[in-house]
Amino acid sequence: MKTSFLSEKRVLSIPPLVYLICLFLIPTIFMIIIAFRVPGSYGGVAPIVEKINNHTQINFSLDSFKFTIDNQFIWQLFLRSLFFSALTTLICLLIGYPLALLIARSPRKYRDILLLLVIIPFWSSFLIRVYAWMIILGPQSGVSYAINFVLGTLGFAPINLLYSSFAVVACLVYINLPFMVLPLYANLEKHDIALIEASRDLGATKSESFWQITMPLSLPGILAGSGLVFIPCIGMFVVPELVGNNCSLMIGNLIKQQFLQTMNWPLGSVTSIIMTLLVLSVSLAVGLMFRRLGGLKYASK
Amino acid sequence: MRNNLAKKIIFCLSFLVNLANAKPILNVYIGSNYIADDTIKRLQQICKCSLSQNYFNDNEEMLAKIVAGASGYNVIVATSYAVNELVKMDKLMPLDFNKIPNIKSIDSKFMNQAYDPGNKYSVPYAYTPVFLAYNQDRMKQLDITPNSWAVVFDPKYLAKLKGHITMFNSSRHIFAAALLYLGKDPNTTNRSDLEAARKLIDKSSPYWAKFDSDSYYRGLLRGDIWLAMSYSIDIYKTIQDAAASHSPIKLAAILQNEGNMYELDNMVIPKSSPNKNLSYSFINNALDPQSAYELSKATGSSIPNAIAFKKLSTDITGIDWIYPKDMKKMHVLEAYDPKTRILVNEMWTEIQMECH
Amino acid sequence: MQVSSKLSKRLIFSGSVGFLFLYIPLIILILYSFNDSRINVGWVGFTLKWYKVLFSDKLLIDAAIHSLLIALIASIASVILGTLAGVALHKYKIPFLSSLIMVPLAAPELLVGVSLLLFFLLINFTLGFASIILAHIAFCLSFVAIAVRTRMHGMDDSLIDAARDLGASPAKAFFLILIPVILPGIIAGGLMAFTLSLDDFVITFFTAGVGASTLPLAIYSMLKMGVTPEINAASTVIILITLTLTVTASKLSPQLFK
Repeated sequence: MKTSFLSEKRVLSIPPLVYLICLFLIPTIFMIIIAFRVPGSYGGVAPIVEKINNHTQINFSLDSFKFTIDNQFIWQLFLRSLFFSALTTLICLLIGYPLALLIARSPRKYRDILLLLVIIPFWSSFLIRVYAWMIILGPQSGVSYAINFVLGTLGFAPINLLYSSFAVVACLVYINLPFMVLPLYANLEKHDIALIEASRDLGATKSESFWQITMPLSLPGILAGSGLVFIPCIGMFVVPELVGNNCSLMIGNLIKQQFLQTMNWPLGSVTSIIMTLLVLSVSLAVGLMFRRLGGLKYASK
Repeated sequence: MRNNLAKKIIFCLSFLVNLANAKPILNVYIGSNYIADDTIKRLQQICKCSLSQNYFNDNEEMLAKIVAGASGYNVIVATSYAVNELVKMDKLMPLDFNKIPNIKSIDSKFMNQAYDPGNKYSVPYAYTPVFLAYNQDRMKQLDITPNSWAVVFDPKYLAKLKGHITMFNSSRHIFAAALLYLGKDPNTTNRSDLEAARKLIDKSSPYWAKFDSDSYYRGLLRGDIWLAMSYSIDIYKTIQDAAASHSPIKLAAILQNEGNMYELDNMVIPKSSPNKNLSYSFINNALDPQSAYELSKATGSSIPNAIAFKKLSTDITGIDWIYPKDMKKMHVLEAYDPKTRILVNEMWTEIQMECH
Repeated sequence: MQVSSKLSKRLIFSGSVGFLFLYIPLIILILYSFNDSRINVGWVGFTLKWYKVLFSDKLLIDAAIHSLLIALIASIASVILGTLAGVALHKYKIPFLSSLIMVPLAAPELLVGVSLLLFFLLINFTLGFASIILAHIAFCLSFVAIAVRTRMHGMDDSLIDAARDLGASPAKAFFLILIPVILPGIIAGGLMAFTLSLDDFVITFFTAGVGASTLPLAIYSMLKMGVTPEINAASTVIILITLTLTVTASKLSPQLFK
């Protein structure tokens, strides 16, 4: 049976394998090839071999890589994307940790409902959640009015909350918060309460028992949550486009512009590839750390 | 469970078959709010089809999508230079005027333009001047009359307006405005002129709040934007909206002394159109004087239709920023040659992405 | 239980701040759907007219129907492919398949969207519903595969062996023994695929063609082209629907949320 062509292994693995090769691997390879090609006269890419005035020209070049490396503004976009993503992760952690801890320490009968309350906003489209912040930060909203009133009495010029880096980070935090809370909760819920109680009995203060027991034990949860927030943030282009200004654009905006406005596919491909390498190395690092921490956790038990 | 799955699949398939069997769908790729509701109703009765409008925000986006292989449109409404680029991409079908009898009602001064000599591929549908719209009270306070492009390029004015200006998110219009301000041809392909324009834009853009050609009029209406590069149809509608919602903000618009751009939008039929008869039926109906009249009434679009124009009241034909008196100072944007297009796109990428 | 009485005030306070942060924006969004102002600037007065506008907006309703259909087809297809992959991953060591399943999960959506766009163009595949569905299957598949594999980890492999020993054909053992056992994993993966497809914006944005507007695409263009309270009304309806679905789902199969 196992040696026949239609072995169980093949029947099971070939359909998904073929699908993913066709619709994930090959497209990615196409993109890598396009990164080395030359933009066409009317968008798209120039043919690989072209005859111009009787001499044949081979259109393969490293120009797009060179352009990316030479232009400071592209590096700025990458750095800003990394910075915004890191900041978002940090703020999500600061808001999400108490939230997850509160749910995990609540009486068992309330936990499900509290968890559900975190999940519900997460299941409505993220565009709707961005829009909610467009209203809150709008120039005529109560928030803007209050802040500008305070600034005005202090003698400062009024500021625009919407269309700013602040708005971009606020929206990124808001749409990604559940990604932080859920893995944190999954981790915190498993903690043995007896451990904390024992530490308190032995005279540790609340904050001591938090920093020395709960916190170290929850590191895998923190790591998982941070990865889940950080990674999708880097490629974000909708949020800066809707609520940002010129100084809060991210690398995703450049990529979108290259494909859907200025029609420079090679440059778009090069930047996409660099972005992907960044994301993959971050997730690889998170994965490795996760493995080590997992070992640590068992060791401590 | 398998039974259930089978039911789901059958349900899905029957749904798809229903979709396929419905009335023929006339797909039009058009800017939003560019055809009157009454016209759509009439058209759907005439062609026994249902009209599906696909909106694009600007012509560059439309071109990118067409290059990106979007097909299946019966008609595209494309602006001047976009027509030319579509022709060069070999995407358009030559038009048969016999199938568009209403073409005779189009004013000859809008025909036979440089981007499509002899209107081989395109017929004008409507046009939209591009100019500066402004908050009247703010301009009065600052004692600025925005009748020159200087107000968005000269530091003297910019210092007072910082953070309250929006400009289009479109390389063509920004470069054209800068070139007009510099006294150059807005369609120039001269490298040093373009570089001068780019320098000017680099110096001015830190003072602009945002590149925005989609929702800038909301900023005008909210009051945080005082001066905006604008399309006539948006401003026409915004002034109506402001009045309807009793907004305290008074908006006005003005053409610039150096000259202005206008988008002359055309009907074209892509080669890939799935049903050419539907395409012609749509175009002929859209060029009908009645349709043009409805378009002007509903949207404030400027119409090149000579018969319909005579029917319009002077309330609208008298507005200079809808029907400019001096058409010699109004410029149609021409297509760039590939080299210039790539150069300008590269400059534009930097302008748009750089933080000042 | 004992601990509950010891919840510190500080924890309750800071946790509640988190909940307020999650909900205040949504509440404001819902309130503004009743605002009688076309331009939605400041509060003018109470009205229900935006709901009337919403329910007669053919474009938006069509987009919603498209979204549901796409999600349905994509989730069914990815359940089939994903279940195969999940079982294969559990039973055999296939490093290539396992990395092809895991990498799309870590790859940025933007890369997936853009590379699929290039792929469809270069093979001359017309963008439209078909391209959206094919793209959605590609990223939903992995989620189903992982849900199924996780479920199989908890399963007793001797069950299948026993069935085979008793003379069941591989197919029979697969459909009659394996599938019922891993069904919860399949359903969880399928639901996940359905919601992911329904909510996807980025990949759809790049692979959509003529007339193929989905709900997220329609909302995006409304947000870009100037907003009326109609979007608030649409959002309110969507939030209510997700609320009902989430609560019902959690009542029906609480184990899904564990």
